[in-house]
Amino acid sequence: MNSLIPAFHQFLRAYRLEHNSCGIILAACKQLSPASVSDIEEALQQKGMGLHMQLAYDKNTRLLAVYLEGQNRSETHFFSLQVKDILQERGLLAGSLLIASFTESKQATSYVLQRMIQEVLKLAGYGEIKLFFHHLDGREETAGSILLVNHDETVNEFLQIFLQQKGYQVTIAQDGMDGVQKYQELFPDLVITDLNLPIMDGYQLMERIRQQQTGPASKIVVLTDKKLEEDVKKSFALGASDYITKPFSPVELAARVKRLIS
Amino acid sequence: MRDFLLYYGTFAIYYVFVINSLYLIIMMFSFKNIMGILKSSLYSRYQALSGSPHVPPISILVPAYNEELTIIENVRSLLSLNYPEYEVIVINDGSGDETLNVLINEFNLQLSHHAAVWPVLKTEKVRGVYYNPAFPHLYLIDKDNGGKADSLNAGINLSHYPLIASIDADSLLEKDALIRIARVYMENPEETVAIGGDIRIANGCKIEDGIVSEIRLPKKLLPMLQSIEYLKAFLGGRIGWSAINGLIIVSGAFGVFRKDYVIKVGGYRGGYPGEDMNIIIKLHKYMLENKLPYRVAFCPDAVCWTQAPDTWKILGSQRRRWGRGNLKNMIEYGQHMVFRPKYKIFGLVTLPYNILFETLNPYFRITGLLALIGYVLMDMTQANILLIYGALNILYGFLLGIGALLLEEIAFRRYPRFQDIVKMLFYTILMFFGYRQIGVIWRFLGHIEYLRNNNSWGTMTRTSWKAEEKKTISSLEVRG
Amino acid sequence: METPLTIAVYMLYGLSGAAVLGLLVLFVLKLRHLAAEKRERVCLEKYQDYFFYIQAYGEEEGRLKPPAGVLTRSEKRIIQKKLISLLERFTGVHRQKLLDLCDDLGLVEMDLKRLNSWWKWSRVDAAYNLGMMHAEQAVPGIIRLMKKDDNDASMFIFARALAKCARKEKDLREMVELLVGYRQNCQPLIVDILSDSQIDTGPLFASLVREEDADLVKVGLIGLTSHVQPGMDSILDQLVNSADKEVRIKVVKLLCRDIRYLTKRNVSLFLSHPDWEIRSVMAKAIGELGLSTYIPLLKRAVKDPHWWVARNSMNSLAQLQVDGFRALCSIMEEERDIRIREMANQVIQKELEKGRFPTIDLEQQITHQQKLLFYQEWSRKTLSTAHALEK
Repeated sequence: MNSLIPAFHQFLRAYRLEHNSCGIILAACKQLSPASVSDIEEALQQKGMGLHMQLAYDKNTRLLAVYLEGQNRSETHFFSLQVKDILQERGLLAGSLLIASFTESKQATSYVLQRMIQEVLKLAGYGEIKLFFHHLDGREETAGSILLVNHDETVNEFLQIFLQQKGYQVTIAQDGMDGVQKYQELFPDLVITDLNLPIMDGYQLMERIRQQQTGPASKIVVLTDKKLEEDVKKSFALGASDYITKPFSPVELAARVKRLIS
Repeated sequence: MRDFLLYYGTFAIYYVFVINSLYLIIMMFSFKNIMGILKSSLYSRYQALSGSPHVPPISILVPAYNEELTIIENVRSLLSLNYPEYEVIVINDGSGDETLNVLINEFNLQLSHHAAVWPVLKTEKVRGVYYNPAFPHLYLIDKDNGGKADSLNAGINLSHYPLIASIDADSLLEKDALIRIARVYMENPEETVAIGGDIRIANGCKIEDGIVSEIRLPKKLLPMLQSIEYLKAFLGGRIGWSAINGLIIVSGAFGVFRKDYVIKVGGYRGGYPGEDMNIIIKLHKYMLENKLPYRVAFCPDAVCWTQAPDTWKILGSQRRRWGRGNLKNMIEYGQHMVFRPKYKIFGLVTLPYNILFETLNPYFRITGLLALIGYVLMDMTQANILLIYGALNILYGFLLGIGALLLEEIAFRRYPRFQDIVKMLFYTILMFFGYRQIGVIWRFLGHIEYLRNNNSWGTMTRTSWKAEEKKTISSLEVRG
Repeated sequence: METPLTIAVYMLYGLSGAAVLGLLVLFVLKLRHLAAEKRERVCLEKYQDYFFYIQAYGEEEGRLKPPAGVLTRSEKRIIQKKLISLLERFTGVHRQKLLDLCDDLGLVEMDLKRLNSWWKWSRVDAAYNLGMMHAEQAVPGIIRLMKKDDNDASMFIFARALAKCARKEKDLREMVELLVGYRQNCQPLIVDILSDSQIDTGPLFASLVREEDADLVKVGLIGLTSHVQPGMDSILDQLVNSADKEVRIKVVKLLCRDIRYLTKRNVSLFLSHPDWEIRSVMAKAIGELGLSTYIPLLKRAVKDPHWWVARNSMNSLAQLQVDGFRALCSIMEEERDIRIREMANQVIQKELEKGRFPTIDLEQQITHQQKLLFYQEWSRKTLSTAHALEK
């Protein structure tokens, strides 16, 4: 059994955490000596400013675990940036980081931690920070697949992060032509598209999607800058289920997406 | 004799100095305005504006004559501009090739004998209007051959919106070029009668699916030299001229006009090249005669990419055409407008400047050079005067080139690499060894063509679009 | 003989000097721009994880934390740029959290100071940034700049910033008045600028309509097209008779969006109005709104001397289902003026042509079939009468 797990239980006992939240950061490191672990701990304590934490290092898997008391996911995530900085400064980081947070520490069982350990070891890349999503009932499938057709990179980047957080599988297409191709490959549950697109505009994309429909229909949400009545009318005529103009509220978008997919 | 040659040569030297100094003054106006242009462009949120219901709708007119190879890609790219409400009207000007059919097939257009055409401008016979509701913003007019101006007039008759944009069929608009121009228009809609866009050379750039995806300087010599010319003329010249409302031309390759005034001045004039300069002169004249406040604006951040001619033959025919059109316009309007206070800046500065320093430029330069050569031949010890003449030309031209590059560097930075600047500087100098002189000769030949044509009155060719002049880039008044 | 040439030589010296100076400036500028670009790239790379963090937790409770460690000024600028690009795309909680972050990072404070900079373009930069950060504290400062820097297009940058910062109607109103004073006739742009505001601009437009100044009235009228306000009937009725032609046209355009205003009295009034633009707008609206009751009025408007009014009337008739189409056909029978008959025939044919394109809408297909049937029967009948007459 991995030595991180007993350390975790010890941490839980030490802070009597059953009904409190806790955060976990796992980082794939190089070989660490006990001295450097305590050096890292010291640096982290300094940055954490009164935060209760515990470090554990497993020699076999070369994983460093940081357990945080009372931290929700955003706080854990923020702290992981500093963990990464400190490891990188010392040249000790070897792979990626995986983070998770549990609203009630009771949920964080050995089983879940074990799965986290497996996952972080599988992670490729260097210095990436990944979020671990745990489904208590053990479900693995995603909430649905979404194709995002948009030329605006800022929106693409954000929506990918935002919707993936909510458990959707997100694919991005940069222009209308790309959108049609990816649609044919994936047949997603939902398409979020702009109307102003290079090469082939949103209307033509919707037209193509409609022609291709063989199985269950993909829902279409239009997310655009266009505020003209005519555009709204035409989009709905071409089969859009919803029309959202920018600037938009992501919360509202998520609610609409959820209604359409479920 | 010797004295006379010397006097004339000295005169030529000062002529060169004055012409360049005037140009430098105009460029100073560009510098004065460049920061305002930069910030307005940077801080106008075009993405949001391109969806706003308050932006005026525009009819884009695309005259096409024998464009079967590129027309599909260009129309497709025009149909996906970032703009709230616009239509694309392609006018097939009796092409001899398959221009009409490739369009009909690609967009599945159907002949409609009954399209609403407001017969406000006289044109050659319209054979039919093609349309497909699946592309509700695309119209194709098929008409008998009548030249570019005639095609534009036919497009105006069909157009449904209060603004028109004229665009060459072989040019590519950047996706937000139109909305950038619209922003300039919206800031002063009542007085703005025309707005020109910036024309840049696409040779050497990577073009994918009708979009310029990677900007590079041309690799060939001729397009490279033209690239510099355009940069100097548009950034150095036009920003400045527009600042004092003395702009004499809005490129036919890309310009936006108020339809009501274009109709009031009788539309575009056919029969001669230079219809793009002609319409602007007519607008100036009309507005000034009716004492209406107005401006002809220039929007340097609205970019239209065009393929420059890359052979001497095509370039020569283009430049001769410009020479012909320029002379025609100057003769027609010069005599009525020059130095009449009624025509304000336009009559007092722009037109005289154009006549003295653009139209007559070849004569002064060539004769000045000849006089100096003659003088030196008579007295070899005076060879340095020839040197001074040459050095003055080159040095001043170089300085103006640096000015244009500075403007580019301050506001636009389309060419990101350091070596691009060095390369452009090098070509700014190279231009003076052969290219400029040939340009002067072309212009001269254009004038001769004009005079010959004019003598054979009545047999004037109606079509200004000959097959060998396929590269119908707008006339661009570059100083020769 | 020597003098003119010596002057020429001096000119050459002068030009060389200027050219060297220009070159120097050009190179320095280019290098600085390249360095700035590189700095930005490096900085964005460095804070990539941080940007992920701020995008991922936009709806959780609590504030977003500023990045750990001390930020340099240029880093702050680059982060601000990124935040602004996010800010302009969002509303709701996400925007609020980013705004709080801007505050916490000290960005608002930094730009408030720059608002008083001696260098004009710094002030413009600052105003723009403050606008994007919806900083209410900046309102008085920006209004001051609008009053002072009244010479160029930066006016519109200030106005847009103000529209975003202002939380009170009176500030927006002052902005509108300043803009109208600066340049008349850019009302659509003013309305577009106002649409950036977070507060409801409907009441503002309603009050502008009651102003004396025609330019303000126009701003109000354009604004009301997207912000319907109650209790406007009487004032709009008055404005129909305004001395300013554009006001009249804009009022009618506004009225024509709402069926409630289109009483028989109003419709016949507008269709016989001296301004052709008003007649044309009215004729068009009847078709768009599907007001079949006004077919008789349209039939009369078809004879309008202005081409566009006649054309719009006919197009409207064609839009009004089978009844309107029938009226169009009857024009062909009754009308004496050949040009009107010709135009009617054009519109009829164009309407019938629509059937050649496959439409999606079942309802449209049915009406089209009905029109076609009617036309076939009608043309048979009229042709036979024509034949009978000929005999």
